Amino acid sequence: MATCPHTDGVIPLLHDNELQNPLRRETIAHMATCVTCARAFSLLEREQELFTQVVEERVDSIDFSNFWQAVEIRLSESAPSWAVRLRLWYESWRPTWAFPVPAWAVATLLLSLVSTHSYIDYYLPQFASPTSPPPNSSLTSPAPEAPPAIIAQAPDEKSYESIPIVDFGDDQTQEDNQALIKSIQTSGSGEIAVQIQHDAASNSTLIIWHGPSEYPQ
Amino acid sequence: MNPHRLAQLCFTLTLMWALHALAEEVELHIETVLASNSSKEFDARLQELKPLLVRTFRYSSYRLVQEIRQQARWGEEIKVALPGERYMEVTPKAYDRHRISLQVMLREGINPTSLLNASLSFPDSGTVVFAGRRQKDGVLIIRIGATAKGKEQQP
Repeated sequence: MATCPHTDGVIPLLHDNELQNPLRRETIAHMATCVTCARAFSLLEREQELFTQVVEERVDSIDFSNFWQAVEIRLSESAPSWAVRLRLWYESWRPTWAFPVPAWAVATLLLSLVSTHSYIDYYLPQFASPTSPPPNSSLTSPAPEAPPAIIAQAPDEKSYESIPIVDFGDDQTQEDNQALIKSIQTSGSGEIAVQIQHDAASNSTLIIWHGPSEYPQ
Repeated sequence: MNPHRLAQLCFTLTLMWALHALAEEVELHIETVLASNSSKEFDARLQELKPLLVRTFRYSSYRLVQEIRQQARWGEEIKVALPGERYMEVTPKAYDRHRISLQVMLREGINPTSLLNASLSFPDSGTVVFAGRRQKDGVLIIRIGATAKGKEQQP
């Protein structure tokens, strides 16, 4: 039987439409003069036809009449519980977070230290700054109901130096509905009066500061 | 429960606590009112404040010139521009026993010294009112309210 070196190499590629020009043109031209290659190409085409025929016969024999019903039944089946899904999710991510126990412990410790530090800074400043000024025992009452004026002489206008008008310290008696003034400082020229009063009706504390000519009485 | 799972659980709980701590903040409500004798107008938006204003001040006109609601983190400084080239810095400092501590500073222009620097505390959802600095022919009245978020509210 005659053989050709192209029969097993390029002819199957030509049949699969895998060859590009100019090799494709050369192969077609070669096949016109080579009986062996032409026969091999014909066999491949016949093989393709038979294969397609068999597949189509098999597909035709399948009963699709209940296909959509079966899909609907599967869709109506209850989904797995959240616990099962959580478990599946956990298992799928397990390789990602499979750190050793000491690594988890260190991460937990660091996170708790940072959180505790933030917590103390924001919510418990008395622990964060233990050097707070000592309470002034003579000024331990909360903002009074009556409007007493606390008068202080402010420094010269050009100095802009703040002066403490009043400093109640930290040790005040905390009454539920009143604002507690820990300290007030002001600056400016001339005599400045600070008036503090609690308005029970609106549950508001008023802080009014003024010079003799700024607030009409 | 094996040690590995226990370590993961501890980490998760700590992470949740940290996120909770960081998520807590305070809502500031700052209203600026211009009180004057220039007219008889009373801003309809100030109805809630009217009794307080009428009882305390003796002006004929009250106008809401600015209202700001802003979320702030504890320790975060909030700057609010006020009429007359002034601005106010409000810093929610701490929350303790249902009370909110605030630092309030009022500045004018580029003056590095504050006109007013007050450190105070008041009940959660309470208000404090600052007034008395001349603004044109009247005074500015600034009401500051603060409500802690993520905290147990006082009954």
